[in-house]
Amino acid sequence: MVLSLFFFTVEICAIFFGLFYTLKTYPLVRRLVSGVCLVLLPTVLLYLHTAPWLWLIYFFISVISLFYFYTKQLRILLDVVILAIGTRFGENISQIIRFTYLEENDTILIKSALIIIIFFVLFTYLYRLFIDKTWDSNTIPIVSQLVFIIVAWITVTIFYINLFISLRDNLYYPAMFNIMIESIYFVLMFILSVILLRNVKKENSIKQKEMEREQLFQYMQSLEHVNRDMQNFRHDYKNILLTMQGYMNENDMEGLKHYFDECIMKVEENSLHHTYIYNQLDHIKLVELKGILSSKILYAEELGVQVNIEIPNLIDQVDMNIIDLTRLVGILMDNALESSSDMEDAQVNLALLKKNDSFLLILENRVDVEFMNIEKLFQAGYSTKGKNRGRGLSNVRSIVHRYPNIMMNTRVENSYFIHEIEIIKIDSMKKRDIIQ
Amino acid sequence: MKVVICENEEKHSEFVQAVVHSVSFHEPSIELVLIASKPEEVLAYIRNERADCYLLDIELGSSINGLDLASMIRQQDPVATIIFISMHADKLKLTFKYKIAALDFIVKEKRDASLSEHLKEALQASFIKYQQLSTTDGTEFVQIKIGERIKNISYHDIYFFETSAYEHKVTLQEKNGYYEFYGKLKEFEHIDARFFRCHKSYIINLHHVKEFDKEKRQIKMKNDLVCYVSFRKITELQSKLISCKQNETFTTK
Repeated sequence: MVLSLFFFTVEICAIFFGLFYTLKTYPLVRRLVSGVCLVLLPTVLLYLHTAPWLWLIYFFISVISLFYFYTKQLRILLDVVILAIGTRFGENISQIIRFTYLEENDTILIKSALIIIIFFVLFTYLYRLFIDKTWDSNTIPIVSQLVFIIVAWITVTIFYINLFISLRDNLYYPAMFNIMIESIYFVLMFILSVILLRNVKKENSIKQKEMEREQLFQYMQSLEHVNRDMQNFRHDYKNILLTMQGYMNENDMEGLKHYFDECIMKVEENSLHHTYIYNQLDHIKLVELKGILSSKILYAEELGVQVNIEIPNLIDQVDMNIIDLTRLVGILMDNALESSSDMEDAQVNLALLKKNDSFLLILENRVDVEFMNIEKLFQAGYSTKGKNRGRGLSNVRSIVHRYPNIMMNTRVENSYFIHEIEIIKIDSMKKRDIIQ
Repeated sequence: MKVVICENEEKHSEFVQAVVHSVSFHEPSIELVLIASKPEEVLAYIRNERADCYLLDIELGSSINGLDLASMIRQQDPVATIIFISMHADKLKLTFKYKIAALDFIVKEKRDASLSEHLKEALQASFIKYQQLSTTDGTEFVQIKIGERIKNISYHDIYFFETSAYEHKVTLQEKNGYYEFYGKLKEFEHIDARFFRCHKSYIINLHHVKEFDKEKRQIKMKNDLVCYVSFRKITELQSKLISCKQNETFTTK
């Protein structure tokens, strides 16, 4: 006999009851009775009186059909084998503990059975967690589900076959068998990882699309803002004209001049500046970059920081991962704006310049010191703003250092804190290397 | 110093001319060689001749604007000074600096004393630069080019050079900044006696060493950054540091 009757019964009962838990069905009396009659008793009888593998086949077939009948879930195919693996593990562990730590006496059987059950309960609980967190909440593609089930089945089969084979003396069969197992596992792992990788790729592209949409949304919002400004201007337009007409009727040139300079120019300069900045942003053809900049401009307005942006040429390509670029710009802009927010005459200037063989990003903000330990700023965790704020610049550097074609200079000069980032075109990098 | 003016507004052009004349009264070598109202005239001029200082407006009422004109001048002549005089000069400040390497930009608002003062200062700065060009020895600083802009870093301010994670990339730590550029450490090994290659990846400025830990083979610089020293350079470094100290005490006496 492969297993003693006692352990055998404990194990199949454990699987049977465990299935109720993992499949989330209630163990009604009706179901329990039919389970005992149709699955457990016949299996035990087969176990006692026929070939060693017959009970195994009967057990699996009967338990799968029964639970499928109860729940109409195909997941039974997975659950039953996973739980079988659990009992196999439990058995092995209890054996190890039994022969190393426990003394042979009357209660040894009970103790080992307890160990099996404890392990099994733990295992089932973890499996249920996996089901709740991953299997049910994510939509796992049907192919991966199938592969999962197949892997689980093969594992169980191997466990049992190994169990039977280990009782034979001929070593040729186990060796052959193990080679077979290894190759099958190898192929399966390969398939699994290919599927997994493909999923990761898909997920990434979805994430990127989402980001793009988010940035576009922010850009739209800021455009709406400009639009509102223009509408306000339109609204006042008539009143302004009437007032000016009043001055002209009275031939009051001085009054008109004063009114124009003080009341119109000053008020409208702000909205003109807005329009100017968004005109500049129009030169950027990279939606993500445009989005992050427009959102930072809105943020600057919130903080009341004066921002000027210079983009004289079309920006349509930057030789850098766009997610890294937006992160970089985001961090640097946030730093510049936040450190400017409590200054009197704050000024932030940003320029995106396209050159023949590179792209330049210059960002400067006014500071009230002439000297700064630049290197300290780049260290993780350091910030002039207190703790937990200094993550930014060290992240910037780690991004920059991933690219051989990006140079970054940072310094303080004439009361400005300046970052210069040059992103060299990959093509021209190659040319330079050839020259070298 | 030859000066070129390009300005399509007649009154403004006269104003600028007047300022240039008043400066050249004190500096006779300043000479106005061309007064253009169209960019094409300037282009025709630079085909055959060279000037040293260009005063350009941005809005020239032509298909070529001042910015385009300036980049064409730059292609011909990388050292000439370019000064922009424009309504919106401050809006394109960084572009001027990094794309054109313009010396200065002047916002033209009202033609008053402050504008002419600013213009005079710019012309004088340009003249100083012009004089330096002829007498330059250029050995006391490292030059780093960012866009068209050239930044000079005085040897005195440099703490150390370090090789970067990528080949061909060198980083430079300075009193007030951090720079990266393409190059090899070897190029900087012998530029001055104060620099010492103490490690495969470091060249340090001996004047800015704060501490030397022989056990750990580390040098702490004045900005608390740590450089490494290779084993076979220890004795050489020690003797250099000592002679450096002696020099310092000597000069302070």
